[in-house]
Amino acid sequence: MDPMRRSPSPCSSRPSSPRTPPCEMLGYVGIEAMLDQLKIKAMKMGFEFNIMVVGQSGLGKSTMVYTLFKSKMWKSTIPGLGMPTPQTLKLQSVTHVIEEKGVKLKLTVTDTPGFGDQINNDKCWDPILGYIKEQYERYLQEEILITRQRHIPDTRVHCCVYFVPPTGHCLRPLDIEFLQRLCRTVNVVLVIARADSLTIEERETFRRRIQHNLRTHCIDVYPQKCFDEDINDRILNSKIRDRIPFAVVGADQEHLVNGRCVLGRKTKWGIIEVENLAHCEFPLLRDLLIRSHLQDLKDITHNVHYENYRVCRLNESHLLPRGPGWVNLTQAPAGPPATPRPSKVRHQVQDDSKDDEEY
Amino acid sequence: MDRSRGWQGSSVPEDRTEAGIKHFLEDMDDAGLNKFVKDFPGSENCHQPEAKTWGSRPQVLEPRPQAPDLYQDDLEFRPPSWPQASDSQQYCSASAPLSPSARPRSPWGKLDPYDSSEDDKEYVGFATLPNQVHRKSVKKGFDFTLMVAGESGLGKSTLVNSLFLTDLYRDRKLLSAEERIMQTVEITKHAVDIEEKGVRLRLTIVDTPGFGDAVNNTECWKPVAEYIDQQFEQYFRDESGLNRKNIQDNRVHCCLYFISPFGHGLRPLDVEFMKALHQRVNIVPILAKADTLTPPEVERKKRKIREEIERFGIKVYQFPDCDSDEDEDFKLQDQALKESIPFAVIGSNTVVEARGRRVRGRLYPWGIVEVENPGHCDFVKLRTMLVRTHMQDLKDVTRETHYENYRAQCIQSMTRLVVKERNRKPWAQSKQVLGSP
Repeated sequence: MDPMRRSPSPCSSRPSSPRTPPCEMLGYVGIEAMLDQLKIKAMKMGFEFNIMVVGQSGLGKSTMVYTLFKSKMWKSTIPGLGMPTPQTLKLQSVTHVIEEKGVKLKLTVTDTPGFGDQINNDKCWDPILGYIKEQYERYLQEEILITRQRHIPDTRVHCCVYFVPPTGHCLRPLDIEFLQRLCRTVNVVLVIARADSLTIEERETFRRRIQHNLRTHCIDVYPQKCFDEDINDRILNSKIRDRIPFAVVGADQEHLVNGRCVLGRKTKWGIIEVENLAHCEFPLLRDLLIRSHLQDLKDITHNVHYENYRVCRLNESHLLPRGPGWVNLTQAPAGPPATPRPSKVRHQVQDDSKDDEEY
Repeated sequence: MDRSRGWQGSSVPEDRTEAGIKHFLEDMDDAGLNKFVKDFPGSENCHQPEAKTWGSRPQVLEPRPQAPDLYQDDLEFRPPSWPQASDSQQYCSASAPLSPSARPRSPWGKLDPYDSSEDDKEYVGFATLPNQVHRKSVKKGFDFTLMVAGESGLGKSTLVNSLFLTDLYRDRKLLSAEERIMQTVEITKHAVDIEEKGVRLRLTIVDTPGFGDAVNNTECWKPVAEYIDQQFEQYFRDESGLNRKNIQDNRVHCCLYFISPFGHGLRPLDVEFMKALHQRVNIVPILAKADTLTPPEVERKKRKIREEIERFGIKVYQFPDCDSDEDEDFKLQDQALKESIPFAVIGSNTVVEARGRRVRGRLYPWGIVEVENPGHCDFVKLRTMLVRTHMQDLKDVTRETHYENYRAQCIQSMTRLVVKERNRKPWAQSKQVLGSP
């Protein structure tokens, strides 16, 4: 082929502003308009977000979904609200398109009624894992088609919120089993459900114990330490990691507190305001899930979890399921999967706790 | 993955870049926030974006919630101010624009409620999504590959320098006549990193020296077409491979094709080149050295070229139609853009004094041609289109149309090969059977 002569990159690659353009003219090219273009495109296309809530019945999962998205979702369509517990674990998905300030979001909530409610809960995580993998498979199939869609519909679960019952002691065996399996496949956000049954001190003790459990069993919940890209992310995520799991309270009724209408639970000894950071950590959960890390959740799902799944699939089949084996698969073992191997994490446990204290 | 190192070599230290980004974003957010305060309480806020870009759409809904500033980390995850808190760290809280002067105290505790500064009950907060995406893009930076094609001496290098305010070709040596006889069409790549207001662009210019210069120019577009296909193939392999973390996207996003102003419209070589490439890359035709033509001549030539493009069935890059809900101004602008094809441009490497200002231009005895004067040439339109309004669209069309076509063709031809192999085998086997005694 013709030689592709690559000229040396000129040393006139410009320094960051303020700068002296080569011909002393105060012109500028206008590159930051790219950001506007991206924004316009994103807003036209809309966003997608798929969230799954897992936990035993009665822990307030459906109410929490309602609290998160408020009246954007009609109560009647939230799966699981007010319905009897099924005998086996069944997954139910509901999709809504909600809009706010011109930004459209297609939100899919998957509920898991019946999880952990049976007498023998062995392998109750299988349907959930199966569902998650099925979504990855669907995306993979779309991706390897010959004529692909312009925008592949994304049904992959971006975030799984796991509700831990407020026992006050530590993680139960069921929790540990489930989390160990799921953290490798999907982003898991851990919350302490119904935290209004714990006092502040009890919450702190519970939280520390859970963090210790997570470290001992090498469970890597979101935000995962290994995906921090730069120093700012690290600082921010360390603060979040310090407060995981969030102690949350959900509510679907409004009450009048000092002239303001707030979502809360009314009891004889006071009104628990859901959005009051002094009462519970629901605002932290909401900020994490929606206001600051939504895109990050999607990116990690796409770049890490989905890629891991894809690598496994390609390796095990050696040809893609639909095509006639046309892809030049490098038979060499894949690059290291993104989730850290348990042995490595275990080794770093002591270092991690030291790092956390720095921030 | 340390991208900053990979891009800029050692020119920009990491903390300076980060500070630059933070600065830019903070400035932007303050302005937006102030605007929000001014307009609040309104139900729908349709702002004009800051007038920092020209030609970008005026109607952009800028969601600027009063929710905690994304870039001031401390505010978001400030722990509650418990009386026995042992936190020694100081967190500075951003002042909420609407200070809760009459914030009531909840009866359930003696502690201050969390300052959720939105009064809108229905506000969930995912309107910050564009900002989240935005923040990631600023971190990652953008890349763009531009190809310039056309005969020598049409001002390609000068135009590239003018467009991006670089001097990529500063040390270029022009070949002498003897050297040119031996020259074949080559493909060369120059890469440059440009940074403005914290936004990084990695620009790659693909040049085609030697195109159309020989005596016999038959199929001189072949190397160009093959280069483009090669980039597609490289991307296809990377995309189908196992490790997709760091795919380098070298696909050509746009090709500026220079048409000589001295001819009568398109010449046979122009037609052949464009027809060979219009399915592979976005072609933007340029009428080069437009300062040799008077305005009526320019008009005439443009019309003729447009007619010929249509007659020969050449599919140049089509500007996307603007939405019906855009305002009249924007529609007019859009229409004007569509009717400017091919862009009549003038480039210049020199700065001259004109009307008391220093401008890029060309000095003639009879006057000064200003490159950035919209009355003199379409340079401004081209730059606006290329960088400020349509860069993303060019990349999208490359990705979604040209690349997908290539991929589909590739897969189909591979399938045919495999099927052929399979069909040949039984025949070979039967031959063997017959042949054996």
